[in-house]
Amino acid sequence: MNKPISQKQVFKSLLDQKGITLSEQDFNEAYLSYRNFRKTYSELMKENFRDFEPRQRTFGEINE
Amino acid sequence: MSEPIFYKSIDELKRMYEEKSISPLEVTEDFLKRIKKYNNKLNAFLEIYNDDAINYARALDHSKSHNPLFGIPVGLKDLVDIENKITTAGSKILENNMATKNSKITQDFLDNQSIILGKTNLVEFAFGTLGINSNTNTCRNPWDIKRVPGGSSSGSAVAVSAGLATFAIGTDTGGSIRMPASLCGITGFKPSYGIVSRRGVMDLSWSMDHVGPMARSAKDCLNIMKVIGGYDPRDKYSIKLEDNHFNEEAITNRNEIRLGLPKNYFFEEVNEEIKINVMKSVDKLSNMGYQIEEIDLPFVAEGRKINIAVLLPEAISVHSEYIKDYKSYTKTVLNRIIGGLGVSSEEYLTASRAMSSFNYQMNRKMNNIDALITPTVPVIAPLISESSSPNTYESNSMGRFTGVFNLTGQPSISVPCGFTENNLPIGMMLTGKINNDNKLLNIAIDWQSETEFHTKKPLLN
Repeated sequence: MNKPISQKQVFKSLLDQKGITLSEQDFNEAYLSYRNFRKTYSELMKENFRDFEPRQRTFGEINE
Repeated sequence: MSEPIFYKSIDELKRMYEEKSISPLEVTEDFLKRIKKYNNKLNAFLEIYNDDAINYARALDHSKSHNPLFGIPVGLKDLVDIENKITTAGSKILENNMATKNSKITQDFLDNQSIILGKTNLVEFAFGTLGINSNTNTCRNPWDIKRVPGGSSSGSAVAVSAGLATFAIGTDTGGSIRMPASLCGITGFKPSYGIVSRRGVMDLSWSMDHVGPMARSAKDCLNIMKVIGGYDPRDKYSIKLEDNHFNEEAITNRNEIRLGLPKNYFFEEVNEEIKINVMKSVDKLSNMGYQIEEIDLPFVAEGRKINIAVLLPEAISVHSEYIKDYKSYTKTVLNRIIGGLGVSSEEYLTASRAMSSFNYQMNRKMNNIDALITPTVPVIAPLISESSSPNTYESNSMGRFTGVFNLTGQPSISVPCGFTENNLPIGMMLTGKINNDNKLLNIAIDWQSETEFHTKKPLLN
């Protein structure tokens, strides 16, 4: 059975797709940002926003 | 005591022009002399249009005009296009990027016979909170030149703070007008989303970008909004307010104005001096007669996260044409862009729907409140020498509060409200109901009519 791909490997593969090569230090720093952003999206994906369409800012009359 | 020319307000300069006690050429020469003296140290301007400004001002000397910004010197953040001038966005990639036409706001300033002094420094592609840019030489905070000025509209904030322009233009995607305004002790206004046209201003995130004024007072910001605020049919995100929305309206009914003081988030993990000064300002506002009410915003901690979650894939899309030149990016900005790779369409749309859900909740809360009061930023300006890494605490937390109101699109202004023991400025952020920009500006004007924080200047020598 294949070993699961680590998040770091996924990130490396995304960089490879864009033709981006980084030093080890720069890669590790960028990976920290990537990991934080992944955490954000994974938290959002657990929630349910079925009553809402994208990017709305005004809603007509709203009474608390 | 009378202010020197380079610290005079828009109204003061206009009065002097009407009285003919000074000419646009004299004012322009004063500013250019001051820029020559200080810009090497402060790096506020990337490009100075010395000859253009002089020639233009000389021609104005023979004009008479009632234009609201006639003869007023302005700096434009180097994201804003001017025909036949380079727009670099603070990046090596765009160092030869010649604009073929004026942005809408550039045309507004030209129509008003303002004097464009030059392009101001910024974080590369406007993608950062501290004002660091190794391409352009980082701007320095005029209050302590070893410290960051904030970003991304760093040069605009520094120029106004140091008296190198009467006002400047910034952009704000997560706080980039308000953060540097707070750190540099000036007033920075992010209008409601869509109020100021972004046509001819380089994008970072279509959903979060705003353009707005940075000046020495809320009154000056209002005067600028009279010129640049308004519907632009050629900007697809532009919205129409009523005619003459922007007007000075003295606040005569403070006791009917409700200012909300959030119970949650905005006073957590905040530098103690910032907290103390903002709370003193709340007391001051209460003593002035405003109603102060504690307001519960249990959802608000999610705001900055959602702001970034929507902003990031849009920024990546904007940069898709530049990223092959990744070695030319500064490390900080490259880090932010590539950190956002791999966002799926489902994730982006979920974030966009989270935005609507958040905004719905905020709209409900703002029903009975005229403005929120919060600190602008939670941290004091860090040292430049300690800010080179992209993931410092200050870099990641600086936009915690401001970014919430890019998400909601509410008008939001940072005004000076105190100083630290080390004489670093502290900003208070007032945020109004969406599309109620004029009321917010007038509350800020009222605050500044009874305080003097906005009149203080850095000691440049």
